[in-house]
Amino acid sequence: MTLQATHINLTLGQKSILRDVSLTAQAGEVTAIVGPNGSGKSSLLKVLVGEQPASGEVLLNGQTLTSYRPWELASLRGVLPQATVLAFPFTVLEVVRLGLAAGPDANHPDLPFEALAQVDLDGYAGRFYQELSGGEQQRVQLARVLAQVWRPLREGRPCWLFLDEPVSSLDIAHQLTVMEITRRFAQNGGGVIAVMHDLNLTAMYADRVQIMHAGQSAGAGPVPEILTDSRLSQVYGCPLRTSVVPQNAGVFVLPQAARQTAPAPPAA
Amino acid sequence: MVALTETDRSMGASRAEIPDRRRQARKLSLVLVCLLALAIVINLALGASGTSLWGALAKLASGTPLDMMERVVLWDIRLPRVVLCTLVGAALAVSGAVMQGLFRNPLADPGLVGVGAGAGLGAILSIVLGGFLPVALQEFFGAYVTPAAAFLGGWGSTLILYRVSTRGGRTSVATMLLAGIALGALAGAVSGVLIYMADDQQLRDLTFWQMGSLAGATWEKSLIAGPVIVLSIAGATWLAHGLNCLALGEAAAAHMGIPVQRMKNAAIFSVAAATGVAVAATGGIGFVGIVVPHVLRLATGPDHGTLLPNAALLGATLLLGADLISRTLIAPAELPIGIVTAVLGAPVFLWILLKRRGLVDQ
Amino acid sequence: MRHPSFTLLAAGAFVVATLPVQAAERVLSIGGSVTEIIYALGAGDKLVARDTTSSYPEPALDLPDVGYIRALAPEGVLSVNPDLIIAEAGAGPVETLDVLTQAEIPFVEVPDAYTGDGILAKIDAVGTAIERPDAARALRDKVAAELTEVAAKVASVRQDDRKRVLFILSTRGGRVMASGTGTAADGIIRMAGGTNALSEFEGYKLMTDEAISQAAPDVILMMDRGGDHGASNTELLSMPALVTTPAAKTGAVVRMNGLYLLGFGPRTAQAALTLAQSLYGAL
Repeated sequence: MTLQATHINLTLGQKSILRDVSLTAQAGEVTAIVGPNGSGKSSLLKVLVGEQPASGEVLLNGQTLTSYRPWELASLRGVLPQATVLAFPFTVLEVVRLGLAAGPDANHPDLPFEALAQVDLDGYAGRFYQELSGGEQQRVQLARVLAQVWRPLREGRPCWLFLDEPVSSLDIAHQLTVMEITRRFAQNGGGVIAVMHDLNLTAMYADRVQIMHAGQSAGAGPVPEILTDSRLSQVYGCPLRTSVVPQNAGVFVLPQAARQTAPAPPAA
Repeated sequence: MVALTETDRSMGASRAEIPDRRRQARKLSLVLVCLLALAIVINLALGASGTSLWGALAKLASGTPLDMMERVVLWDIRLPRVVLCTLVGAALAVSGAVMQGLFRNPLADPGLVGVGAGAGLGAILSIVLGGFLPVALQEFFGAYVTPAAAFLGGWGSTLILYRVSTRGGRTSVATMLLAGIALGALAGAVSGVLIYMADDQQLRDLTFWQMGSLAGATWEKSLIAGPVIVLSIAGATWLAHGLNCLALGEAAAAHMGIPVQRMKNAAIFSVAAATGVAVAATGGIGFVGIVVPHVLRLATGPDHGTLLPNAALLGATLLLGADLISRTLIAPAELPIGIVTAVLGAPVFLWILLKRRGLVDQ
Repeated sequence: MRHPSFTLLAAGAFVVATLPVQAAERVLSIGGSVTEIIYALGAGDKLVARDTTSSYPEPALDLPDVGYIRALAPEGVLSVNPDLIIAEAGAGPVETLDVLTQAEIPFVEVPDAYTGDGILAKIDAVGTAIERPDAARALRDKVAAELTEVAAKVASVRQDDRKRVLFILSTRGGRVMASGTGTAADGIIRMAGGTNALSEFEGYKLMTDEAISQAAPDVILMMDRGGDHGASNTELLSMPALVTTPAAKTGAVVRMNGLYLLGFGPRTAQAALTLAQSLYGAL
């Protein structure tokens, strides 16, 4: 079971946003979409979830998005936006319950609390959403999405999480918490597609990477194949070096390499 | 994470301490039902004439026929007025709440943003130009012409308002309020032209209608407004989950399985229908639609599932209270109820603005 | 049923509902001229209530006020327990009148016409309704004589000297609402020997500044609403619509009490004379 997007083209006004982008994500894997600012990552995600109409085809579990009824789609996949402004003073619990009601587990009243515990917000249920910090709000939204799509597999079919920069305003501990959640969701059979800025977290948690550059795909595949010195340097427009830590801990990115070409600091 | 285990469910011992606003709202519903019943009884019992509800009920119980005064005052004056007042109060409050949910802003009110003015224009059109309809049509539609025209006027102005002030799923409050002012001015201007064209009899109908009063309440009006308002409120309640999700934004609502466009159309339709027949039946009555939902949100939260039914109850109760003041303060004459609601509502509205100044600057 | 009633066929133009056999004892009067006539017929003690426009004579002000003639509340009307309602044309709304019919309260609508004959017909109608035909006849003869006298005096004004009079109902928001033909103002201007400066349309309309300038009134006629007339006249005549008119040049503004001027009741002959004298001096 996959998410498969083929030949996506998106033009807004005169501006070409996405040009012939194709993407395949497998259930059971975390797929990261990376790339510099304005490369079309978020636009691609919006096309993948059907929020932004574009030419080309998107198949989720083998069916086109438009062939699903809205509620079917809602029970199959949850979408986490970058930031959410709430119009009315809902409490955290009420926000998470909205997600619960949208998904197939609406009859589990305890599930919102479990979702909040997952994102490290145990005890926040009675707080007002609007009074939380940006990072806390982001985690509440993730809990809402999890309450909507709680099980990675339903009747043998994978469910999906689409996350737009899920860790962008989180501290490092909570970045790890959230990435662990995506990892577990994938390990248990679900599919995760996340737009990521942090290449190290991407390297740590993603199975596959799609790298975007100026509206086009600049490569897709397993992390070690894609996050290479030359590709990253070219896409991000600055010299980057990747390396592997000892004890076989996987790929990590070394931004320090960029400093090598900078003028040497004046002597003290 | 795959299975909902027992240990998972038992976590979070502090859950019981979280105030459950849904339960509070349901308790409030009970209180409001009692208050509404009380208001209905008081409004049936009190009035300019000394006719006693209890005396009439005692007569009914003992099988004695009512005298004419009792029959006319209770059956032809107070009861249809209470019914119409209850319907219109509920319609105004629920329309306000739905409109606020739709525009994602607690200041949106059909009366403030020009929907009432649009409905009013429709009503004026039907009063002044109704005479040009073929006689057969006039006879066929009869008393329905004005409510229908008011509905179309309200619907049209809501659509224009939404189109103008909402871009990419976000509503600019400033644009909305300004567009409302423009719509109101436009409706006022066209109404002015029509009033210029009106003959004396039409002018009389217009003046009376524009003052916003329940003095013209009849069974006929209640029977026309009743089904429309009840259906609109029922429809609005059915939209509650969608409106809640819409609070997260249109895209988020769509991802939560809400057919957003259809839901918005239904919400606009229900607001226009309820506002339209309410305006046609009683003229413009302001502030109920903004004060009632706001007070309820403060009390039990913004969940539309409980907000909308409670708004119907509180709106009806408040308007019955205002009508009681309107009927008895300067009896045997009457204050137009629009004046009463404005005197009671405008300060509350200012207070809302004062407390939440940031709203308009979004 | 309290009132064994029968239908009285209307004599003349007035509309008649059912009338009681006994003369009415509790009368509700709706409309300033009707109230004046009832007092003039010596039946003021039978009045139980009045509407807002009934401000003359003085004792009328002590009666309960059931509200504006066009916006009567049904229960308010019923609460004064009238056994007869006499109203000028245009009382309403329809819904209230329907309820009064249901309550079987006799409701007499007195015809309105802004002529001397109209006043006489009104007196007849009210006299019949309250069953004071003799008093009505006496009042009718007195008013008729006064009207004839005024008409004779006014006739002495030469056709060339007739003043063009503009009646202004309001100047709210700097816009002039003025009277065309078919109004009480038009009627009283004629009776006083004036010419209505606006004869192209019927009823009251908001006028453009140019149309008023074009109408070139010699005199502006307005209702007296109290306050400082000197200052308000200056302000009035400096309005762009009026500043070019002959009336502005001579400062000719006449203000009279609204009910006295426009009521078309027993005092109208006198009012016409007052107006004629302010137009043409002593006659």
